[in-house]
Amino acid sequence: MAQWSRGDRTLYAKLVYYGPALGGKTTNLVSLHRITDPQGTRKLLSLNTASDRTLFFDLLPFDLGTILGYRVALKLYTVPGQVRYEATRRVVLAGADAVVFVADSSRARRDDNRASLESLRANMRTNRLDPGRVPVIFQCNKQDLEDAASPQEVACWLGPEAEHAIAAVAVRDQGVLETFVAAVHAMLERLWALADARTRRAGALEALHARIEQVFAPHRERLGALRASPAAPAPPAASRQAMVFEGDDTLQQSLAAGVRLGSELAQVQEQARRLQREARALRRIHEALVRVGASFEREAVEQGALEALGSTVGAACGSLLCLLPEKPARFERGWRCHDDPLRARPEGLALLQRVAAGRRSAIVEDLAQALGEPVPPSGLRALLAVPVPAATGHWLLAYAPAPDGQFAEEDRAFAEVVAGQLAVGLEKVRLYEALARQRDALEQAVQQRTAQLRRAYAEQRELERIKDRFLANLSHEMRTPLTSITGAATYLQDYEAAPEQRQEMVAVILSAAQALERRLADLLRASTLGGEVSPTPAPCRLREVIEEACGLVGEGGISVSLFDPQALVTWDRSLIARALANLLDNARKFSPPNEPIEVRVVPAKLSGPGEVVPAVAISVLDRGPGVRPEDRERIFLPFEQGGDPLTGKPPGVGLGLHEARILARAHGGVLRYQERAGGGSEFQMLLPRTASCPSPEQAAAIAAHSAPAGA
Amino acid sequence: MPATAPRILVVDDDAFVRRPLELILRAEGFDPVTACNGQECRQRLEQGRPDLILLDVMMPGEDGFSLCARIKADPRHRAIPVILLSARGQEADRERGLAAGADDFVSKPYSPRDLVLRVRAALARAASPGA
Repeated sequence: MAQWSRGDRTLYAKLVYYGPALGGKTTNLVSLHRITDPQGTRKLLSLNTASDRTLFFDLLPFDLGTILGYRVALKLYTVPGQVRYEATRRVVLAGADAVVFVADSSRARRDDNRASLESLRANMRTNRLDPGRVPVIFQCNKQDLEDAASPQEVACWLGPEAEHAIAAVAVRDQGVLETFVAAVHAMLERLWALADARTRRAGALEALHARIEQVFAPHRERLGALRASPAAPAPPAASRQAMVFEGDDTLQQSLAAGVRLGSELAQVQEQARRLQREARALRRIHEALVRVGASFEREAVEQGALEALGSTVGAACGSLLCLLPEKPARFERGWRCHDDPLRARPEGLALLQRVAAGRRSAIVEDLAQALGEPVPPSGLRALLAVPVPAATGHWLLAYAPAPDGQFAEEDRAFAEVVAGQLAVGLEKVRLYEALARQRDALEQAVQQRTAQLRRAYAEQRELERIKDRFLANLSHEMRTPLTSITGAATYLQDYEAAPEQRQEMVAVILSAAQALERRLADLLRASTLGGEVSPTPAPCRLREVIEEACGLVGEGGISVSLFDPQALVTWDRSLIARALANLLDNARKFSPPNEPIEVRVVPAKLSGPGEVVPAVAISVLDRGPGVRPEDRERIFLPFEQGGDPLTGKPPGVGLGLHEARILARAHGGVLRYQERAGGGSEFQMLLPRTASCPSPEQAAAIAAHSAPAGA
Repeated sequence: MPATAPRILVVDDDAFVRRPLELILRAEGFDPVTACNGQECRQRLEQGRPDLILLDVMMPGEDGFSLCARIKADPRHRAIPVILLSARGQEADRERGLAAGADDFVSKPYSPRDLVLRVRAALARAASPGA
């Protein structure tokens, strides 16, 4: 294979003369040697035998001079034509950049020509020489024979490729140089196409051909001169003026055996290398499949596929793109690149869209040519693109490195396998992600529901607790008077009683019945407390409110101090009186006998939202045991009571403070507890002078009522 | 039944409970004495040994459980049967009362006749400890 060697600016190329035995291959080389190197500065190495013209091969180094800034060094080879030297032919053919097929025009040798051409094709295949890349030039030699077929006839034997076969009589130097120059043209044109952009920038194709003509011009002149001179044509035997081994059969046989062994060794080595390469490729495929198959993560699946593809086909970089018509190309993931090298460029994107429109895997052999640009993108030469099945618009792309990277059919086949695996992997990822989303949603729902249930359970427990407390209180509050009634009634029924004892027992029954009645009233109040309290405030005198409250609990033992007996407030009188009565009742339960309960009423301020309003502070003070700090909020809860449940529980079901606070709040006020200086409790109700939350109609009524008073 | 009327100490803070019980016990041939709290109860014990104590659980000051335990811890009074009376109506209170050493536990409201039967039974048990 040709090499553009930048180091010594030399293009090394290989031209092989192929054809049936005794068809004139060596004669071609000898003639060429004679024409181009009359002084014999180069050596034609040829091994001859008596029976076969060429046993091993002929080698003619050939310097074409400078073309496109490169020295072009050609090596011209012939192969042995005999059928049994197939292995040698194959080895010599390896790496050829162009082939000259020298056909023997003798009609008797038609089948030999055909067989040789078959052998050439087979050997090119074996050597992975792409007929599209390696040109074959046909020559019809021995046109001077009596039974010579015309070039057209030869083309009929050999097929359409041989259509432009060059007529030649190599022994007379006819057609030899033409064949060679044609081969050089064809070969360099192909090599130019395969070269990197910089080399191609050095000169256009036309310049290349012109240069080739220029190089060969002196040789053509010399050939013309030789033909003009009658003494010029030399007999073929005399032409073998290069280094030629003649005759020594032992030497020939040794060489032949050596060549055969070398050829076989080369074959075995090549086979071993191929097997190693295949093993490596298989291992990579295996690893890739394991990685793609073992992961549930999109990134790992995509990365695994790209890496398997890129490293197996020898790519410089690769990418996974989403290419949908009418949509911007989306870069999904890259291997050895941070973005697709073509996507960002308009022409590159257009090329990708064209490839995608084909909907089938494709190889773009020459990116620079496909893009219509002199410079291929960032050192890349070829593109391999395969669609990912079932993943609409997704394409796996691999880029071969410049200057001469390329993709073969096996690469495409492998890429399709990888794309199939990627499709399976992506589908698995998609299902897994959907499953994970569902699982997360479910988990969230379960958590929410659990929290709801937990709250509901806590609320339920609190309700249960309140109910238990209520029932325990009520039970005690009703069992005690029932015990009195049962005891007294039993006594009256079963025993002879003196009149005064009879009186006493009746009084016990009546008193207990009253206690039961109060508990019944408590019960009814408890059943209404759950609902909204809607006060109906109306202007009234503060003194009247206090008096009504005292009247509810019985006047005795209460001392009242009121800052202004005439003070007016706008409250729901009966509701505030009830709240105050509850406080008085409570104070009486805890206060020691003979200690009066004090009611102090003073003007105050109440800070509402954004404003300070005039208020009244009503305090109820006792000299009881006070409330333990830990109970100071609890006592305002429904059915909660202060004191030890066994020794300090006051009578009642535990609703008084709860109700008082609800009523105070309904007026826009507060009810709070504080320790009384010198021992005891102080419950203070702080109420705005005008209840702050009346409805609009009530507000209008208050205004109508107040107007005459103010006037 | 002993020749003299058995003395029954009734301890309850509520006079309306105490008083009918006192009258019934007297009519049944007992000798009732009363106390309205723990302190009074201890005073009565010092004044003369009762044959049985009817003890309310919920009282201001010292509660019935504690008082019962204290009586049963005193070697002089340990043998006196104690019947606890409770208006709390909780099953746990019965266990707590028996744990405090009470001989019986009666929930309010009780039938006075039933209570009298229990008093007699407790006295009989106390009179013949082997039975």
